[in-house]
Amino acid sequence: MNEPLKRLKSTLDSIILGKEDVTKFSIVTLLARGHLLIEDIPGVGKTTLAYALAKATSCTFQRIQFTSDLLPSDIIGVNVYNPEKRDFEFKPGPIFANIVLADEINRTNPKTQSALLEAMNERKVSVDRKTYELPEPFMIIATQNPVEYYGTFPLPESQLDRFMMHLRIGYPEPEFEKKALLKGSRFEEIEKLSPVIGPEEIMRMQAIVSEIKVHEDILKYLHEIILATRRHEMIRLGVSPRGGQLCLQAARAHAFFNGRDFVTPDDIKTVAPLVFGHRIILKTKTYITDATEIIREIISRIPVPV
Amino acid sequence: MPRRYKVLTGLIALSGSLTLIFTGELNPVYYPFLFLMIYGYIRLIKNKPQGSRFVIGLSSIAGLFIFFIDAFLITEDYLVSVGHLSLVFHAIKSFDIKEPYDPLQVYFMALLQLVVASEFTTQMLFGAIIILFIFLFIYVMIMAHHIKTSLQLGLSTPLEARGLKNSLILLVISTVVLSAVFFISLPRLKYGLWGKSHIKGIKNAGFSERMDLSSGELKLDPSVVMRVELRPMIKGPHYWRGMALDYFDGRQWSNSFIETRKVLNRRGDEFLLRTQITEDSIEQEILLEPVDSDILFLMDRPVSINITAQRLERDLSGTIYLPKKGARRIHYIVRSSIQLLPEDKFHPQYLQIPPSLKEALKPFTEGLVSGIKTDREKALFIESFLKKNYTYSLTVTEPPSGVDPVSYFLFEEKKGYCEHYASAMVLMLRAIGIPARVVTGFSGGQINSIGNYIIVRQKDAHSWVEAWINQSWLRFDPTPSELTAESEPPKLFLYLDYLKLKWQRYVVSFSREDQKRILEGIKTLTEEINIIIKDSIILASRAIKRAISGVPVPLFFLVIISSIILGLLSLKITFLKRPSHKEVSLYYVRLKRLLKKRGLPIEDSSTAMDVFNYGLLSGLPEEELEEFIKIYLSARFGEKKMDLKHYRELFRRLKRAQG
Repeated sequence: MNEPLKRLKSTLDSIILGKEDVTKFSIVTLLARGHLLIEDIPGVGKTTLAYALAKATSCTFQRIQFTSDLLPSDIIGVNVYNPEKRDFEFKPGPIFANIVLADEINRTNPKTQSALLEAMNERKVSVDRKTYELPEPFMIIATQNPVEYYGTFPLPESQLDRFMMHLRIGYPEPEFEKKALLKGSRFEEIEKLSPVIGPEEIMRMQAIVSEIKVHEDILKYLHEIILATRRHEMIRLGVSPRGGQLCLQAARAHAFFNGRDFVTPDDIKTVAPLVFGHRIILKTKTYITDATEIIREIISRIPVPV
Repeated sequence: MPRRYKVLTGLIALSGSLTLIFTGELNPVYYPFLFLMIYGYIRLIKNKPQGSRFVIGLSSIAGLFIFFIDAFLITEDYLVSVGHLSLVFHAIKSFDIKEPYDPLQVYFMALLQLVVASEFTTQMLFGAIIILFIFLFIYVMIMAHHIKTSLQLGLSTPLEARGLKNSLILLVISTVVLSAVFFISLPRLKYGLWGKSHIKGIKNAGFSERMDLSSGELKLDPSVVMRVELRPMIKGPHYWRGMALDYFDGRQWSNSFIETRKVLNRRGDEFLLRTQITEDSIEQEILLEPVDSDILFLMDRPVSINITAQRLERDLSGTIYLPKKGARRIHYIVRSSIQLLPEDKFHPQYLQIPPSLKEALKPFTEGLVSGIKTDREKALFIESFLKKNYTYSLTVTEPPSGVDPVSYFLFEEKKGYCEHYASAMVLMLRAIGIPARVVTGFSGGQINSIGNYIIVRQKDAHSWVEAWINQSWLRFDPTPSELTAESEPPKLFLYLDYLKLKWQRYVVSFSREDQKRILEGIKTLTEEINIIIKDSIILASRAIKRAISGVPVPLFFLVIISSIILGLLSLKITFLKRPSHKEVSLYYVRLKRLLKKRGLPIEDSSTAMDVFNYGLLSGLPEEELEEFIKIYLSARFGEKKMDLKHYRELFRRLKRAQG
């Protein structure tokens, strides 16, 4: 791992105690130019993670609380009439930031959801036939609550597909939870964080990540996993080609994160459940976490190239 | 930073500085900085600590300060002082190489040095150095890139430069080829890049526009003045006429027609010297080294001169001038007539003789030539008289005061060199009423049998006589030929000189004309190739028709198609060939099998990380196991080079630990 990334990781770990995997995969997603979906109960540190990541990378940060009456223009921005100039002027919305926390994304109506998801994919927004580029690096961290079923609009599969990774934070380990009880609110601590890496450096790393070597046998290995998801008896809809592409990109970022310039089967094996979990549709209605377990089960049966 | 990288950086700095020093333009006061730099790089290679930021900064400022004083007060030549500055900065920088990208500044400085040096010299050796430098330069640039990328990736050991050698050679060759293409195709600039030429002319090239008889000794300088290709190659001695001198003041000869210069007519790049065109002519292709004189040297009776120049001038004495020539190397082609051509003009100035000399010479010469009728025979007699009765000598004693050098030579000293002979003969001819003049230039030279051209040196400077007889100027040379016959120089020298000629001719003084000729040559060549291809296609198709006339057509096509497929297959096989991973995988698989035998849940779907974890569980040494897995992964999936011996050794150790 290179120095700046090491520092970034340890900074995040000092804020979110005992969740080493979660911090690692959020950095991996950032390096792979992906977006992150965190699904968990309230109060386990989803917002803290997003805010700390932005602060430590000295990226601009915006938080959008999704409610049922949120409109697309509340996210993207609006044209406002300026009487002095006698012309309309674009007021950029909260999406114009490097890291955007879309909190409780399943609480808003589908129209607003799709506006956000379109911006995620295109990395630009259009208002009144004019296009505005979003800043780089750009990463959306969306959260959704699995237990709150009242007044929610679950994200359709096609929109879930746009998130590179899907994570669960989960309850902290007992030892860390005790520590956390004492510490109380994290926001002052995050406010004081000094950045360990800059947005330019992240963009440079993103460029290197997309150059990382993938051996043909690795591609074959990944492809076999994808094919197996489509054949599995419990799965109704397998992984899409886009899912495969994103998985490869995530594996590259994971390799880079571990200081390598080539992808190993371990990279694929590590990221695939997190990338594929929310992309498949099971025949029986279950939580995404069950789908992740099924993917793990599939991978454990595919021979690794030697 | 790898050691090789440091050594190469030092080498580049050294080559740039040495090249600059060898041009001889720098002040030797700056040479110690070169040694300081070498010391700096030795320290760097030995991993000694580098200079502190404060000291480096201070000395850089001091270096700049010295540069400004140097440029504006001492050297007063910005190019030379930039050369000085580069030596100083190289020395400072050699103590300040900390980051992997620091050497880039060194490379830039060395490149700058070569650019500066290119203004100081046009030697062939320099061209070779440039190519070597490009080689080194590209190599270290690729290396620097690898090192930087490895750092960004956080790799502890730099990336292996795979296939670096081939791409390096390819890059260098393409660079050289591309430069050659640019060199041929870009329009020629008339002046150098810096406006001011730093190339020094040969001073005192054994030839001057005046001729002083009182000087004592003649030096024999072997440096080359010009190289001449003759077409057809005729036997010598050859005379390369420079200037004709007509006025003698008792000690010195000078040209009093120097003010009568007239611009010559031109037709394109060809300057015409005569209106009549003669069929029988000798073509002389001359490459004149930078001589501090604007006179052109050529054979007698020139008809035309081909030269890339604004204008040429000629005075009444027949001397040809290239105005504003300066110290440049020039290339020109002269055609001279073999036949005598009637001259239209004659000037009474050619009978000028100081009265006291006339008194002394007239009776003496008349006594010599009494009984001889024609002027031509008289002149020939005087020529052979001087040749036979006087001794050639390079050292001449100073004539006593009051005695003019010509009488002293004729009546007392009786020895001298060409100037004495020529002066004496011209004055003797004038004394008996035959117009004559002294001509200075070069005579003889050495034939290079390899390139079949003539090398003319400073020591070949000569003076001879022209006399106006029967309406034309005839050449006489009263100087006895030198006693020592020159031996042929070693073959190696001849080859080298031939190379030099080609270098000077086709690289240094590459002209617009050459450009045009090469482009036209390429055009005709492609046309010829086209014709050849067309012809051979026709011939081949005929031959095939004849050959397959008996064979059934489907069989014929089957053979062709299968051979194409076979060819493609063989191509594919050669292209896909990669370093074999069989052995790499072999040991890894054996390790997996070993662990499985011990009852660990190792499956086909186990990854390297699983193998590592279970290996630790079964008590394998962590360090060896980690290194083994790391080498396996990087060789297998990263396609990196590996030390197979070490890998095998690691496996043996792990196997032993397994028991």
